[in-house]
Amino acid sequence: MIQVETKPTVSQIAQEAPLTGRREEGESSVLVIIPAYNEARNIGTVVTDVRHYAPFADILVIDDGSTDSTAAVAHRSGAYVLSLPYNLGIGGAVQAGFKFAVRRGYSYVVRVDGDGQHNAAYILRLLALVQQGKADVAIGSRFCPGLVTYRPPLARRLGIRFFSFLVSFITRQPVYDPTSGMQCLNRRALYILAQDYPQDYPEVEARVLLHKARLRVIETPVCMRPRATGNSSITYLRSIYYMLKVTLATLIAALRQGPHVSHLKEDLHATPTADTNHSDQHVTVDHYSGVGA
Amino acid sequence: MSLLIITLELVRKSRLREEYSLLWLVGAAVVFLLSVFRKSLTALARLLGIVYAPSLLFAIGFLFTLVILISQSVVISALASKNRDLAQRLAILEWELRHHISAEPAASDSRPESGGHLSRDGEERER
Repeated sequence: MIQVETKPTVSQIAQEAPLTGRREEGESSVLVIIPAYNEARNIGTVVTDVRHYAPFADILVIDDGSTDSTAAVAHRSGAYVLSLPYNLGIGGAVQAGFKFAVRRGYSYVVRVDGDGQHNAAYILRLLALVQQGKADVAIGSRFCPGLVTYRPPLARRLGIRFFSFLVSFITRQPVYDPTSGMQCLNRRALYILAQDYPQDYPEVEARVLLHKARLRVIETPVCMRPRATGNSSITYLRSIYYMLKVTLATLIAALRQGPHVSHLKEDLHATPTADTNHSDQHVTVDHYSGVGA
Repeated sequence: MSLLIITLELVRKSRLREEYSLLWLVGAAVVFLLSVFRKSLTALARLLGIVYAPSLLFAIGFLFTLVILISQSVVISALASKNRDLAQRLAILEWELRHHISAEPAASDSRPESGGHLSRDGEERER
C-alpha cells in the first residue's frame, strides 16, 4: 500500500500499483468491456463474437443510458450489464468499466466498441502482448506503417492525422492511431485510467496520461470493419467542436501534474483488491520480473 | 441596493448557499457604497487616473461579475465530475446488488470495504 505523505507522481503510482488483481479461484482475470449507446441491433452479435474468440473472458457491456433495449439484448446474450442511470458519454462509460474492473479485481481489460467495428479476433493478439509483459497497454491500430487496413472518410482521416501528430509531439514517440478504441490494458494502466479518464474522444488524451505515467504503449495493426448498422455518434459540426475540445484537453493534460491524489488515495482503499487487509486470502500479488519501465 | 436586498433575502430563505452569496454581497456592497459616497469614488478614480469617475463604478461591477462567473464555472465543473462519479458508482453497486442476490454468492469481494468506504467519503466531505 502506498503511504502518501509527499505527493507521489503519476508514474510512481502506476509503478507501485499491483500488477495482478485478486480474483477467486476459477474466476477469469480478463474482462472485455463493451461501451454501448443505443446499439441494440449490434450488441448481441458483438457479444457473441467476443465470446467466440475469447471464451475464457468475462464480458461486460456498459449501457450508457441507452433509450433502446441495448441492456436487455446484452443481458440475454449472456454478458454482464452495467447500466448507467443516464448518458455519460463514451469516456464516462469506459471509465465505469475500468472502475468495475479495478473493484472486481480483474488483471486485464480489453476494450471493444459496441458497434461491431472491431474484429474480436484481435482480442487474443492484444491480450498476448500485454500478458507477456511486452507493454502495459496494447492498442489495435488502423494505421500502422506499411499496412493500411482501413480508410475512413477524408475529414476523419485528417482529424486522426492531426491528433496523431499532436500526441507524437507531446510524447515524443511515434503514434499512429491515437483514436483507436480497441485496447488492452494491464492493471497498472487500468489503475491510472480508472482514476482519471477524459470525456469525449478519450483515447487521445488517455495516450498522454499513459505517457505521463511512464506506461508502455504499443500499437499493433488490426483490421476494422465498417459499422454493421446504425449511425456513428459523430457528426460534422460536433466533430469540429470535439477537435477543439480534445486538442485543448490534450495540451492541458500534458501540462498538468497528474490526477488528484486525494481521489487516488480514496480509491486505493476502496479497491477490494488492495491486498493488505486480505492476508487470509491465498492469492498473492506477484509482480513478475521484466516489467517496469 | 436592491441587488443587495435580493441577495440577502435569497440567503435568508436558503435558496442561495452562503458560500456562493459572498461574492454577490461583497460586489453589491462595494458598488453601493461607492455610489453613495461620491467623493470617495472621485478620489479613487483620480488615484487610478480615470477621468470619468462613474466609469470606475462600471469597471468594478464588471470585474465582480467576471469573478462570480468564473467561480460559478468552477463550481459547475466540480459538480459535473462528482455527478459522473456518482453515476458510475451507482451502476457498479447496482450490478453487485443484483449479482449477489441471484447467481454467485461466492463472489462477494466487497463486503468490508464498502462500509469503510462510505465513512471515508463522509470525511472527505467534511474537509
